[in-house]
Amino acid sequence: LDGVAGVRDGSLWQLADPDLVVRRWPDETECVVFSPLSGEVHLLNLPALALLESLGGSSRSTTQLAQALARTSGEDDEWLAGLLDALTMLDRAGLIEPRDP
Amino acid sequence: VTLNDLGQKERRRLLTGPGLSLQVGPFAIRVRSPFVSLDEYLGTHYRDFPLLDPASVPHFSIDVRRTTWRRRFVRPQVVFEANGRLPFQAVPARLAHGLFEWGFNWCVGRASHQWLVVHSAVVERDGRAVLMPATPGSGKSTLCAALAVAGWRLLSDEFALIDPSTGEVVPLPRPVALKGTSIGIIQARAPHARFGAVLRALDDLTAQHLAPPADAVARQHVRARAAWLIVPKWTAGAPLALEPASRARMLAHLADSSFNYNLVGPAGFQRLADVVDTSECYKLTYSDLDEALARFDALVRQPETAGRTR
Repeated sequence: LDGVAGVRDGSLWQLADPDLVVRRWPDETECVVFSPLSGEVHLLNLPALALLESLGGSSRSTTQLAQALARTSGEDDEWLAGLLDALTMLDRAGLIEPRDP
Repeated sequence: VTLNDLGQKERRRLLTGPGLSLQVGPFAIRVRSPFVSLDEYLGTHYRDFPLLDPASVPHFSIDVRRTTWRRRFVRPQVVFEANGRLPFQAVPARLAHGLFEWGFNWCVGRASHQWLVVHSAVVERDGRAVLMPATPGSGKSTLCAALAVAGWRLLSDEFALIDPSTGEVVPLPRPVALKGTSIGIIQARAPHARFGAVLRALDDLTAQHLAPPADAVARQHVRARAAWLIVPKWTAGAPLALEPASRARMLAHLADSSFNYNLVGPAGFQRLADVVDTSECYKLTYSDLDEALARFDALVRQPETAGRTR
């Protein structure tokens, strides 16, 4: 993972809003997340939600997130690329933010 | 006492003087205007609404007035003012009653934060409401009007007002704005219904307002429970299809269609989510109104499956 662009800086990710409200249904593959801080609602797939949940109240690097999520999801190059895409998407949506280590 | 109990002369005196005060859904409004066309429109389309004491404090104090004295004679214009605010540019005077309705919509959308306000048509039968949050051009108003003239109770063509503490839908049975070919379709189905004067905008789009059925106004204090969330889409030639919709997508759509859930905060979001959770969610594609209406009637006859909580 260290060779992947955007990961080498070792920056940490954290939730932009620690008070996110999540609504999900057991038979559906998407969920809805509300950020009281921004007042915005986001439609997410379940892997993106797992990413948010793995951040919880702490800061984690991309490598740590990959290690945590790979335990349940398996890991290959395509999966890692998807993880980086998801982080970028969540960052742009204002749900997570980078933090200096 | 309703507006219909006032003589035309007294109605005009109030409208041009201290103001005409009406109870429209949960809102007290006071309207003032010198325009005869608006006076006549209120006389037909708001005739069944209860009159209020002119001295009472309204939620919305509305003036539909001339711009300047000179403009009274040369290309007359009309401007809408509510509670001291002017949200729109002046428009030609022939659009006075249309401006009143657009302005009233603005009031509800911008200043009704005691409710969760969702852009949606709502009709009801047997105490159960259908919410139809939809985008312009989806056929929402046509479907809503067709249901209203076919015996469903009109709660609103524009707004679902949801009580954040109970989740109940609060009626706001105002006139239904119909556009283009929808006007003739509904006139053919309800030849005795009251339609307002034709509004013709610069782009040649025509619009007419269908007066709310008297029964809907008489029962405007009777709330309903959301039972179905249906996103309709009129598509030429399409066969009727009522398909289950994703609840997550429906909640995102409801939030997108809401004017103020974010102002109410997490409780507003949770209430919207509860409405989704306790309703049946569908996407409706239709081209034939009769088929669509028959499908709505069939929904009511089905045993309730909503109310599931997880």
